[in-house]
Amino acid sequence: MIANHPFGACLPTFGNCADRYCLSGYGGGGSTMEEMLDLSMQVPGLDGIELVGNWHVNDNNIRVVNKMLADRGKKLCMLVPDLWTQAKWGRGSLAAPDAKTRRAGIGEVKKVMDWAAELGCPFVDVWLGQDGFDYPFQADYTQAYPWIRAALVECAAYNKKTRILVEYKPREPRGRCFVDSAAKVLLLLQGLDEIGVLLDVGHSLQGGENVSEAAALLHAYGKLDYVHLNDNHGDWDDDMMVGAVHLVYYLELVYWLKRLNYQGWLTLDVFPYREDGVQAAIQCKEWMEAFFAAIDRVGMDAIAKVIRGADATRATALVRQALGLSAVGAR
Amino acid sequence: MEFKLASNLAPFSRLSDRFVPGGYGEGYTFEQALELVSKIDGIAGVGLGWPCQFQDGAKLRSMLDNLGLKLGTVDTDIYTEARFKNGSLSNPDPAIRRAAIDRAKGAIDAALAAGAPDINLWPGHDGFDYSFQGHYADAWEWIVEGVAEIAEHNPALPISIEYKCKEPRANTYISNMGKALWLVERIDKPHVGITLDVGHSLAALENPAECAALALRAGKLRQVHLNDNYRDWDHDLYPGAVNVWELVEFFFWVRKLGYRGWYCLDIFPYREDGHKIVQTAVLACRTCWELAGRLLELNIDRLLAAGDHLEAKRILWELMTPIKEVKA
Repeated sequence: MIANHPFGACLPTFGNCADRYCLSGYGGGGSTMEEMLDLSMQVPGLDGIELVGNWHVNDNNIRVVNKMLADRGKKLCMLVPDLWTQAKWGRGSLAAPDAKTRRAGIGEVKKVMDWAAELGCPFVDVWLGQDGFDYPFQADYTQAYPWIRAALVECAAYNKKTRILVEYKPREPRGRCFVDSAAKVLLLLQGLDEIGVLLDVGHSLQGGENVSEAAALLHAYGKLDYVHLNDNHGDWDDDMMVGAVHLVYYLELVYWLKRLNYQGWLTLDVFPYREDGVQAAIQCKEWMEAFFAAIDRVGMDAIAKVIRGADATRATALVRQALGLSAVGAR
Repeated sequence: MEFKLASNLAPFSRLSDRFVPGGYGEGYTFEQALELVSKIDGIAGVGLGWPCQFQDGAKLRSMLDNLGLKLGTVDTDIYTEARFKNGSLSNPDPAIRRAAIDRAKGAIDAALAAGAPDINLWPGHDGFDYSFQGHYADAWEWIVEGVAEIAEHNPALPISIEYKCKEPRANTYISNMGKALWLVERIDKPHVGITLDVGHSLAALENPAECAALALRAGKLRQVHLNDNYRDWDHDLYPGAVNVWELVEFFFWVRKLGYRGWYCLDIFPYREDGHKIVQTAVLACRTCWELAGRLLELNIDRLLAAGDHLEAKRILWELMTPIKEVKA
């Protein structure tokens, strides 16, 4: 747990991360599911694991994997349908120009929804990473969004035991992704109460959002369902450790998660290419707990008062006080 | 002036990224890829990595001769192995620094045997992701020392240092033209120059034409890589896909200031047909190159000197009309 929130991690946190240059991976981490899950046991307080179709689970091993999790006392906090790990999705999944690929994408989501329901996982994460464009004059913008929306509506009606969450991201692996911001995902899901949103802190920062504002906006529409934690330099999804760059944004986010009464998962989505995954996960947890403690120390009412005053000089003093850098607190 | 255009083999390779490690396509063998490249009109040479793509320079030379291909450069592989993950020339571990220097010397020997005009050296892992991670003073000292030692190995074979602002590190040390020029000026050898990758320059929020002019004025522009992006990342799109005028302006200045080296396509067409995209790239590059040539013939630099860039723009737009009729 992290401050009463269930604490999860995406499995690649404990794997051997590769990129386009170092195809065989940067070393460290586990290579099999069991090795990665065993490593996850070394992170104190880790409640759940998030898994990806094709990478981690398939038609043949899903129940075996569930037992591996159960044997280690880990919940399956999220199942991600594979709409992006294979070449067949290279030109899109739910918004692919080819109707057969779109149909296959819908089939993939439904299948994973059934698995999730069977395994007691309440969510599936629809991340449309391959749906977008690289070049001008490549995509039909008028068709893409209706295709995605129709596909999501069909899937949501298919199995009401599993809630679909849409994860937005500005870019990568496409040069530009269609579902790229909090506002656009809300637009896409207008009137669809049965579908929620996964807020990935790094994706929000990469898109130039203030992540707290994004959280509040999603919450206002009943769609703040799940949170991914990571950090970056503001221009790319570097998937770094929590608080590595955006310390103050994280402090503010923790305040808003409390104020919005968010009760859901806090799940790490970090890619520790060069770091020890277990240590990286522990550091992320320590930071999050420190942020929660800092907010508690200053007090929700005191912070609310500063925000009501809308005085940036008091806000900056508050940050210093919360981080324990000043004896003089918010007045 | 000859437009010497080469390509890397990425368009005919099984390209992967972190989300699709299995690759977006099947790709071809090294031999097949070379043959496919050799058949593309407008491509005269290739840029190849050592030792990741070829090992024996003499053997490669005869292969390329048979295909009628020139070797545009040999790229030093100091970035595809996990041991370089914390840096090559600037790695805190002296054994890894040594391995990187030896690798570059090996690339020089291979380039000589293969008949390449130079080696390319891109220290892609030399940088930092986190604050308080890099020892900036030591790192830069080691980079200078490393390049200096590599440059001593055989002054007959030029070395071209390639800069890039990020990826695979979140921050790279040799990140822009200013730092690259500082480095090669520190080294101060006539055979050590700079690779200007147009996409890297755009991603670093530079104007590639201005950077080319700076490097050419210093006599340090050694190689040019061509590709394009949205200025936020090294997407490795084909040249002119997004930033058309920047490419025309770039060609204008490199031609005006007398760059005579290779132009090497450095594109990563994950989702495109390799043959088609290289053909498109050749057409885009040649068109922008010729447009730049027309602007030179019309002496638009006089207008720039006089500060009348709008008159220069008028000429540029006039050149664009009437648009040729094409069949879709």
